[in-house]
Amino acid sequence: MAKGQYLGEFEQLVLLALLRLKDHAYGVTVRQEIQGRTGRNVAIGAVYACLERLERKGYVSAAVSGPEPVPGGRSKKFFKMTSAGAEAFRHTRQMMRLMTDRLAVDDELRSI
Amino acid sequence: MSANPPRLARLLVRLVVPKRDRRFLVGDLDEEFAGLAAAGREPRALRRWYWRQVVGSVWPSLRRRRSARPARRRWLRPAVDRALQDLRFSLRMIRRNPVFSLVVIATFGLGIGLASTVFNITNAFVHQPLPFERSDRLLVVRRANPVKHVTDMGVTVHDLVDWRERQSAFERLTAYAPVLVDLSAAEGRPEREEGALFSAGVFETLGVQPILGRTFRPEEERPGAPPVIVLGYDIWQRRFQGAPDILGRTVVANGIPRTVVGVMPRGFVFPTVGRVWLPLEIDPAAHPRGEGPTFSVLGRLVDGTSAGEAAAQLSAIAARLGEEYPDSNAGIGATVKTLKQTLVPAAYYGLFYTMVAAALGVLLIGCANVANLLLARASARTHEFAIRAALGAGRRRLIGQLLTETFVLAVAGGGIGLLLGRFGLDWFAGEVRRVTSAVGTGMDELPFWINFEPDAHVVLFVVGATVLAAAAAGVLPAFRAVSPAAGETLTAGFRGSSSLRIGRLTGSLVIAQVAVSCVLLVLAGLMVMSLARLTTVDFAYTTDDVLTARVALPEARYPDAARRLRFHEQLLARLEAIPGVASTTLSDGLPPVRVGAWKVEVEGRTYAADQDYPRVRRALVTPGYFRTFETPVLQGRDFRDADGREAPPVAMVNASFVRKYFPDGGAVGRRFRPRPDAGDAPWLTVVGVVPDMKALPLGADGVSSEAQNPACYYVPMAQSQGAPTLAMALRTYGPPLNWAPDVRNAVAKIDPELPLFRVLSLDGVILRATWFYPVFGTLFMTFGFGALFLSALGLYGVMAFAVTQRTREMGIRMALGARSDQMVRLVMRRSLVQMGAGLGIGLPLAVASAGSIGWLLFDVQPHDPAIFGLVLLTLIGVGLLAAFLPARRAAAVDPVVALSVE
Repeated sequence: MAKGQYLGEFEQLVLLALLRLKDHAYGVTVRQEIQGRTGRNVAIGAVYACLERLERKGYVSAAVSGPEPVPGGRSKKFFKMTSAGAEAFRHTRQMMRLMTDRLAVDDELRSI
Repeated sequence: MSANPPRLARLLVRLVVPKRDRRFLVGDLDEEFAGLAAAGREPRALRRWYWRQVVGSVWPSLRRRRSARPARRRWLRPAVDRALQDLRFSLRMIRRNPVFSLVVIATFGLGIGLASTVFNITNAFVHQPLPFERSDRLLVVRRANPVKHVTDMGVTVHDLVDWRERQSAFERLTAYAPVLVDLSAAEGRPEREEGALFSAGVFETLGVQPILGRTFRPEEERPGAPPVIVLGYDIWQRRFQGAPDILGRTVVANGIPRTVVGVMPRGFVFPTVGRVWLPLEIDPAAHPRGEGPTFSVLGRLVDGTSAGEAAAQLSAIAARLGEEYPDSNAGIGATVKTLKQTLVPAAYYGLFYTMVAAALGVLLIGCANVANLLLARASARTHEFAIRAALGAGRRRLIGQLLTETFVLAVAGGGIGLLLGRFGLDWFAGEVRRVTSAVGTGMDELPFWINFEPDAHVVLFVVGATVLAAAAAGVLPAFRAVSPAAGETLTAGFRGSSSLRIGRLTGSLVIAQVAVSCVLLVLAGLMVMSLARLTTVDFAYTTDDVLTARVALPEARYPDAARRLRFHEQLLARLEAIPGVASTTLSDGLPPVRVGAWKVEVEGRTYAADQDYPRVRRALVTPGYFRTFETPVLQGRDFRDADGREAPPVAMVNASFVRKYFPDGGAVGRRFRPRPDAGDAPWLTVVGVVPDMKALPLGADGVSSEAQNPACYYVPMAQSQGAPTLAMALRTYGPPLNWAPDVRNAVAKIDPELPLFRVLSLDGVILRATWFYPVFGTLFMTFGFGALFLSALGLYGVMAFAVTQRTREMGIRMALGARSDQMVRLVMRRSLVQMGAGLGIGLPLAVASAGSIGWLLFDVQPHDPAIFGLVLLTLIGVGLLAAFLPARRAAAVDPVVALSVE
């Protein structure tokens, strides 16, 4: 796997949010999922920028829903992880696992 | 009302987010915003949340835009690269000269901040559309009779009916008129509310939906229709605790039981203050043509018709009506205005544009300062430019570089200006709110049609001001710095030989600065003087700790003097019994309010014709009047309880009365009487003289001092027919409004059906008429002092720089034996010449612009010599000081040091 295909921290957070949200992943829910779990203040623009980057790499696919069946209902952009995305994520995790293999990371960190 | 995302933030996010995601992202933001709003988050926190989201989204979105863009086209590439290079270089220069950069940024920020505050205020009043659907299509029609010089009058029911039949320019014509509505005691305390009569279709024409029930039906404007009423939101909340079953209930309004059919949304007030609405009865048979009540007519233009066409059509109809009904309609035309124009009087526009011009003046002074600083720096950098030019940098490239630097500084200043503008606007909105609540309108909100949210106009204005400021400040220095003459510096041994030419340029900048400052200081001075005059006005009565209220006695239950006077007596007794009240009085008009004028006949004078009888104002008062307002009796005595019905008729007069009609002074004991229209009115004997009690409007519209202090006489209430509308005043020991409930009780105990209205402190009464001066005075003061500060700074900077440039020359002069006082004179002479030239240009300009704000001055002549003198002295003083400090330094130069400079 080429070097450029490692996932950044925020990209990983976004992909994990997609996994958790399944069919409900759009701007609002992704943002809230990350902010709610990590407590980190996330701007909606950052979420969209990241999703677009992932989309360009082919890790995420987007689908636009029809307008909601209420007056003034809008259409939303839903996101899903692609198999390439799954592969990339697996790869990242694999790299991480290889590096932490048989290393008591927490204990080691505590001793510093 | 403010559950909408901040508009500016929305605009920003739309600008930065790439198109493909724009609507999804904005939709997402709005969804979360609405969710948080529904969860009860308070509006301020909500807006903050939204702004945070937007600000946090700017950088990721911009970065992604750049990376997503296809490779730049080849021919564009070098240009973009050059621009980026210039930008990077500019940022480096800014960091390297932090003090210089900060001064420039602060100067730009101050100027742009002032200008954007003022523009935002102007925008809110002048440009922002009313909160109605396509409000520019809403027109108000009234009538005029140019032949008789009547410029504005209402429309009678007959004309309305004919207009309706014959016109085709409006979807329909509706009518409204303001009305006072007395809500009876049946369901709460009696209250008088500002309301309006609405014909069917006014709500629909405005495009406003009720939140409960319905609006008026067409049949409800016909005579004999079952009486109905539509309530405003706050009356529904306050009086009926927001009862959900309000529809169908009966409310007694102006003595008639009416069925509530609708409730309007929060914040809807129309026209200007109406908060409860009754159907307007359209009955041409009720009055002969040309008589009867009049209304304003409101219509929405049919699509494809312009306001001009509509006006032409109505004029044609009016002209034809004039031919058909010459008795009632001859000469009467129709006038058409937009709804907005009826809300914001034309006189305001002049004021607002004067303010914008003044703020731009301050910005201009700031630009001149920056230009001077840049020139100074450019001459310090001539060496650098000469070397760069020698190494092959093109003239254009160098100019571009310098302009980029100025531009970057201006953008930073613009950012600060935007922030300052926000503060300024909050301050202004706070002031307006403070006034509306202090005058006891019961609203602590801004008028519904004022929207201070910055919109695209404001953003455009700030961007435009920034670009113009950068250009105004940057272009001259940039060209000057790279002028061919500058190229000689290398060979000239960089002795700054170009400083003379730069000197001439800075000189003209100083002259311009002095001229603009002069204008602004004069305007500021006039406003400050107005303010000072206003706060020190000798009202001849005390305005604090006085509670005032009114009550109207309906004709039906108080038909004659005896009954009215009986009520007065009872009320006075009850009011006097309230604890904490020092004294109390009843009258038919409070001192600041104008009372009616009557013709009088002074004993011993003869009058040839009816119109020769002087018209004099008259107030009916009870004996406690002057005591309550703490007005001294200058001669004679005050009224006493003994001046009753059976006692000899007496009067008190004010100083102006004495001056005009008893010029020899001895007024006490003299007699006059109201002009007898029929029979003979009894002579009134003057028993006392009081000073002139100031009446409102204070000094507005250039009212002369003569008109400010009208001759007036006072008659004991008990010797009159009694007043149908009664003003009470109570001097209290403490904040007057605390006594309002007691007063309400006192009235209710006598007659529970009487509504109390205009319950205000006397200060509130006066503030209502004068709030204008402190608010706008402060604004103009800010302009004036901003201008003075900036131009003093500029003057000092220029002089100091000139002296530095001439250090060598000074050294030589000193070495050749010049005395230090000669040196000081030499340096100062130049700045004096510049000051003189600046004032020569500025004074005529100041005279002209002072004339244009004359109408809003209080008791100050627009060409007040004291203010002009003071401004001249201040400017000259500041100029001398700014020149003297560098001059003294020049004189203290050690010739040896001076000659070895460089």
